[in-house]
Amino acid sequence: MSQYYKDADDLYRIYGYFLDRVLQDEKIGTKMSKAGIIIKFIYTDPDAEITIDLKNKPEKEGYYGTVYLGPCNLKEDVWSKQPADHSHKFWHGLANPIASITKGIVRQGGKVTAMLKLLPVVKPAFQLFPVTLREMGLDHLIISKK
Amino acid sequence: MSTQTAFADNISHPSRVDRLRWKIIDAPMEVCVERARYLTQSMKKHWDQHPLERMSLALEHILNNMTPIIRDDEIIVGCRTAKLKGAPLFPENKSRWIEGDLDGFEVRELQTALITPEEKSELRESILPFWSGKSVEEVMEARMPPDISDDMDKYIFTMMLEITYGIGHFTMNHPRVILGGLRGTIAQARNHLAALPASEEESEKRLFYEAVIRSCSAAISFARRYSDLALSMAETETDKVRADELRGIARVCARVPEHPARSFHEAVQCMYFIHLIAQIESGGNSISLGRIDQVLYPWYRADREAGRITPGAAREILSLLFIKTNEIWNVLEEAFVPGGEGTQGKTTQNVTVGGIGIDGEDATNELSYIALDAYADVRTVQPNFGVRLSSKSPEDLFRKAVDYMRDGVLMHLFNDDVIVDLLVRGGHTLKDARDYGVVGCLEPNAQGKTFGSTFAVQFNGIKCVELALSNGIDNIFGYRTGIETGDPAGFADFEDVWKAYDGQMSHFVAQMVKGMRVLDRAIAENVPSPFASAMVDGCLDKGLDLTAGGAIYNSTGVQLMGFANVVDSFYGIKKAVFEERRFTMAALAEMLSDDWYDAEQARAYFLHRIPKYGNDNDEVDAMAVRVMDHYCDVLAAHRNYRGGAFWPGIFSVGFHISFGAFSGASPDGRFAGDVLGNGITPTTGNAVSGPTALMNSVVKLPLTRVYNGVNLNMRFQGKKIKTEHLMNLVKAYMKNGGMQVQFNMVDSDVLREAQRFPEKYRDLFVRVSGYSAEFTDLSEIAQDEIISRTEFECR
Repeated sequence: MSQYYKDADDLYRIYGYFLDRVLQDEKIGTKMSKAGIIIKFIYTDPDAEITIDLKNKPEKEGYYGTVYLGPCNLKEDVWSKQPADHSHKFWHGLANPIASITKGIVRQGGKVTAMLKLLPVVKPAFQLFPVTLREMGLDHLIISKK
Repeated sequence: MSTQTAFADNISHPSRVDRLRWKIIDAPMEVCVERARYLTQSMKKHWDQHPLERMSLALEHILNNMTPIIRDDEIIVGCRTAKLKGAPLFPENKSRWIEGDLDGFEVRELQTALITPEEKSELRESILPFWSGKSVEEVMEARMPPDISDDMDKYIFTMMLEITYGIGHFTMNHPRVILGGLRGTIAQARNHLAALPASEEESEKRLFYEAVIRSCSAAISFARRYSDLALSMAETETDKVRADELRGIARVCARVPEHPARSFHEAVQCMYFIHLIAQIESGGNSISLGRIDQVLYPWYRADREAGRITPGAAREILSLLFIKTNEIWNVLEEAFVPGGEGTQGKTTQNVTVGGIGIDGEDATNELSYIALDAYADVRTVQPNFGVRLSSKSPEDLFRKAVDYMRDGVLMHLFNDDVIVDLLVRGGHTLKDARDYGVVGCLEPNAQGKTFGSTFAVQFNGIKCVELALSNGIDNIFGYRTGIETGDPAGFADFEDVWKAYDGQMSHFVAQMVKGMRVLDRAIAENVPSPFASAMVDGCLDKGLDLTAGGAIYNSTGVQLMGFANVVDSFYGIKKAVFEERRFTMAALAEMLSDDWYDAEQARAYFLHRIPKYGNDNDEVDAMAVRVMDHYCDVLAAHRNYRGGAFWPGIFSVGFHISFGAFSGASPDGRFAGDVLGNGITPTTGNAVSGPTALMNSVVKLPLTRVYNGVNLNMRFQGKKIKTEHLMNLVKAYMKNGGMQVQFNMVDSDVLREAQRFPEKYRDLFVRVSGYSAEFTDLSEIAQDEIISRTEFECR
């Protein structure tokens, strides 16, 4: 039972809003688009799928990529699978990505080396995640850092 | 004598080497469960026994039950798995990852490996459950202090490689076994056992000698199984020539490694059996063959003098040996792929030829040339071939090597005049230093006398710069990972910056040292290697396993990553911030924290206007000397679990890519995530003054302090360079104190073409770091990095 997400729709609502901001953010978006890959995030508890297309021309003007909430037909270059709650902690900067992979909490596949290209966007995205939760009136989901 | 002439006459097939070469190149990579199966069967029975007993019993069970295979055309025989290019598994080291990767082996993008459904089931149902909680990894985790566990995940240092690949990175005393046979080694162990005083009869020493005897006896039985197989195959073989060959193989395998070799063929087969069995015993990454021309020459000379062999036949046998080394590879867990590009090259089984002998005189012999030709015939990722040169080396050896290099044959050149001095400074006797072998990417150490664990640690130097300029905050993740070394805004001069860097580096080196002690102890207490121990001098005399400090020399290698980036960053700060006063420290720290966002002009200044290492600029090179000296000083303060020193090295394997990805922007104008400099090679695109200037910068460095070795990787435009020019360049470099150099001689156009049409370039091999890899087996990032390396002209 997820601590932070009621169900897949709830997850899509939160990540949809967050990623919408990310993909319009000049600082983050420009770096993301350099990665030039399609990445699929697979979540468990609740089960959900989000695909970010940084390879093809963005569908919307002013965006650096396109996000697909739920299953889609795009073939990903790389995928990452993890519990939704773990992802929530990660976007707060509270889950070490190396430890997560080596301890088997996060699984990934495809062009895993290409995923490294996304690392430079992590910090600004960490900063943005709690901001978007606050904007959505979801302050109770913000994990306070000790 | 019949065994000695079996193949000298028969080896006339010009295409045998070519056929076997293409067979191994075209073979799919596969995972093989045999070793893990028999290991686990034995361990289930003997888990309650002492680790020395249970490991040797397991090796015995494995060697008695593995499938012996002799393939068409083979003369040198012995297989590590039941598959041609098969990777065994070592769940005693790490087992969790196997469970996690099991369904991904065949579908992963890089380093794909086939595995049958039956093998997957066997692993899941009967092998992996046994190892839960018992592997070295889990023992280590349970013992590791939490603060060090945390630091291990920060990409500041890695220290899991000893169990990721397994115990390896050593050469063995092959001459002792070829001369005396394993019967000789068993007799030595029995003598030690008999000489044990009453007080030690129940000690670990007794268990060690018994384990050695058991392991060596098992190795003899393993060879006999090959003899039996060859004989039975000969009986049904319809081709008379092949039937004769098989009978010859049977005679050779009945003789060695049990007894002393009597011919060149027997000596080579003996060497391969010992090499192979050590790599079955443990993960065995980079167990190396050593000075092959020196080791085998007495047997070659005897055969030549007796008219039993021709140079051509010796060349073919050596080619066949080299091809066999390509069967040996270890499958890597997917999470580690970014740090381990080019998997087939990663077992880095080194061979060297040439160089001086223990008397200090040139020891090049006829076999040096033959081995060089044999390697040029195969041109595969294994073995990792090196030519030792000195001021006394014959001109024609040098020329032959350079000619081949120019032609795209991948190899290193090592400079004995520097390396011998380096090893003596590192604590070797002069004789042992002169007789060095090479392991890993390029690490020199006393042949057959060393367990140097040379690939143990990779240390991220540029991360220490990043943390020094952020007061300990990781600029990739935004949270604290380093210690507090002061707000950079308050740094009054360059020495304050340096002090912060020293603080970060000293802290993390000390943490790494503590971690390595826990890991090394877990290895020694759980997975000793009695067979390999019997092959490395010191262990039998001490009655102590290799993993516990039995070898004569016991260092641990720690590689500095991002050397050129650290140098260029510091010089940039010194110049632009404290001399020119163009930027404040606070502003620079802010720009780096923000990955140069909205600061393109400033970044361009640091990148293009500040002189860089690799251009023969004395000021910058003085900074390089300081960075290298400092690194050596920091490591010198520590000792390892086995009683040896931590040896500094500067070569990068694939970690210049992965460490770069986890490192924030740096004051050399590099963006966060960008690839780091490779070894001691200048950063990509910044050595703009030509190859001589680059080499002039390198020879100013205190290279003889970097005991674990350095890697200079250069790239020229294919065949456009003249042999004479390349020779002169290398000669001057070595005369001035250069230690090692290697070249890629492939044009960018060819590499780009290979990216587009990988299927046409299956045998395009490149130097990644101190090893070779199939270009098409590399990730796009690694391929791009190789293409982006400065392509020199040399006219």
